[in-house]
Amino acid sequence: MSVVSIGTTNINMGNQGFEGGTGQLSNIFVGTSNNSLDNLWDNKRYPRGSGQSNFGYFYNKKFRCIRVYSNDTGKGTVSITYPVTLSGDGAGLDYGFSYSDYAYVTVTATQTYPYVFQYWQTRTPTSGTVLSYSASVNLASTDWTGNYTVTAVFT
Amino acid sequence: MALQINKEIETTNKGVVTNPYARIESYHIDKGIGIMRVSIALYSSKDEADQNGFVYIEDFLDPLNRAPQPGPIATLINFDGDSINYPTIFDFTLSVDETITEDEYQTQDLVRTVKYYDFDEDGNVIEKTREENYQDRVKIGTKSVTKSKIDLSVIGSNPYAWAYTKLKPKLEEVFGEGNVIDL
Repeated sequence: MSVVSIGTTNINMGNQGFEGGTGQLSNIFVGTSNNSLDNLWDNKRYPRGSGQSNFGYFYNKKFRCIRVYSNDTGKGTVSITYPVTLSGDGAGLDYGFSYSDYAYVTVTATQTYPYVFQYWQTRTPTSGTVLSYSASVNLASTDWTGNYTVTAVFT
Repeated sequence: MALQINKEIETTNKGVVTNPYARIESYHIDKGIGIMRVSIALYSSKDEADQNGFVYIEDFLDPLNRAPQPGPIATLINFDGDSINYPTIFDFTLSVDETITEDEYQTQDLVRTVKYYDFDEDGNVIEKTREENYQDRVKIGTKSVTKSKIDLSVIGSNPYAWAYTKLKPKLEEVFGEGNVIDL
């Protein structure tokens, strides 16, 4: 998971054209397209809170951010199962989890018979590093912090 | 320290689980606003919960060489015929009730006299007055109110045990009164 650290000054939305890793709010989402504070607040960060969106929430806060993929949605699907359950369709999910509240995120790959799950691996920015051979696995706060997206490989 | 839920739940990643095991995963105390925030997870058993932990810090820092942790029960579960997401975050206030006297205010419509300047028939500046309406917040008395005074000492000497005593009734709101027991 990449770690996105929002600072204490010059907090901005950003749109840097690449995924994850730097301290702009758009990196909690993807960072490659325009986004809104409301969308980040309502749909992309955990834990959920009440009230209206505000920059102050993001002030001086870290997020673990992740996108999960399936290498072939016909062979298997991916999901996040903790701290929330977010079903994946293989097209990718982007979420930021408050660093101080959650020590890990559990990702789960579900194979579709007769295909078989093989492993989780990094996807971007560097691809091909095997993360785990377990279909369900905790990714902890300090794991592969430079990699934003991970892929479940089914064959 | 942990809690057990004396009910059967249907999970999306671990099948049917009887008597899920609830463990607090993290504690966070915010002294400024008087909040203890805990995150929790449900497991199939204590053994499974123990597998989702580290003995050595070095293990935590070395993801490639540690035993993979399968994670807790997915938050989306079926319970008593309903599909629900069990909550993973709870905020407990660190406070004591205190009754204090506060000033009571009311917004009232008032009238005030203001000066303005005009010219007479000879073109001399003259001072005149007129009345205008305005609103103001006016003290109308005092009232007695009970507030939650931030007091970190309510935790006592064992914040971990204190958190579980607060967590238990919260889980009973989800799984039913009397269905959550201490371990």
